[in-house]
Amino acid sequence: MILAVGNVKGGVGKTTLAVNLTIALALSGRDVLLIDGDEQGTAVAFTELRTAQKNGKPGYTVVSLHGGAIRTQVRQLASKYADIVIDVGGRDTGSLRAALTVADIVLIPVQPRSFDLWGVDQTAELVKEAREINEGLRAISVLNAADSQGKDNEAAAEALREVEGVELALGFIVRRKAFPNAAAAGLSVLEHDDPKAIEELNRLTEMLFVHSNAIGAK
Amino acid sequence: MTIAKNPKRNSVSTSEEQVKAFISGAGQAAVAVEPEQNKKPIMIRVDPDMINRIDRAAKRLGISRSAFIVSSTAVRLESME
Repeated sequence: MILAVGNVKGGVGKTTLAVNLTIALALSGRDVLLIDGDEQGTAVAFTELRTAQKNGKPGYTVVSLHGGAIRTQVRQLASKYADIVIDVGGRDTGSLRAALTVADIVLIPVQPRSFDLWGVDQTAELVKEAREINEGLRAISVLNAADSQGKDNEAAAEALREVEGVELALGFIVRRKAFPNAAAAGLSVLEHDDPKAIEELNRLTEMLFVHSNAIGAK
Repeated sequence: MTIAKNPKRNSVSTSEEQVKAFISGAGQAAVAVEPEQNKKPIMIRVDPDMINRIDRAAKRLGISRSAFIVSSTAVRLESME
């Protein structure tokens, strides 16, 4: 399956989610390609760190691609990998748009903050436009870096449910120190020590890659 | 903290775009906007109808309002020089 993790708004935790989902798939034995379509190159930098930590074996392949090359390369490489995860966005870029033309699903991480929620409408508009080219594109928002308590998560979820053409993933990914701590060690939270973070990531991975496959995504 | 609804939300329909036009829509914005460090903000007064037309045209090209105004002005200036 081809999963784009993107949002026109930056700082929503998309690279963290993209690498964690990539590693989750790799750990389950799948052959995964991670495409770093973000000019900051964080996913590549993370993978270099991971490669050093894991004695040269990060468990997946990473490439840096930008703009239209994301579309052409994904189309060429799709048959060679079980899954492709594309980390794109932070703003409206050619890379994000190219990813939307080839992805089965675009996962839109959203933090439960007003400005982040407003950005979803812009991403949703882009998705709508992309569907004229990529008819089957599914868009799923996930509440990321959610609060551990309080009412904002539910209020944000309520707002996300109203976004036309974008489904909302069940459950939240709560802001936990395990994510930056694991990343600093070149690891996913699955390889770290916070059972709640592991449970949340596993739930999201299962929802995206098991249930979505079951309902017909490639 | 509370969660506010997006005051800008609307349901503008998108036009048919070819793949290349769609992808390059953002690229044009990047090209036009990147050298922004040296740009100076100015305030201009524009008729609301004109703003709507500008926004629709900019949206078709996938660029910002500002990028559209600057690039259109550049074309006009070139034709005069």
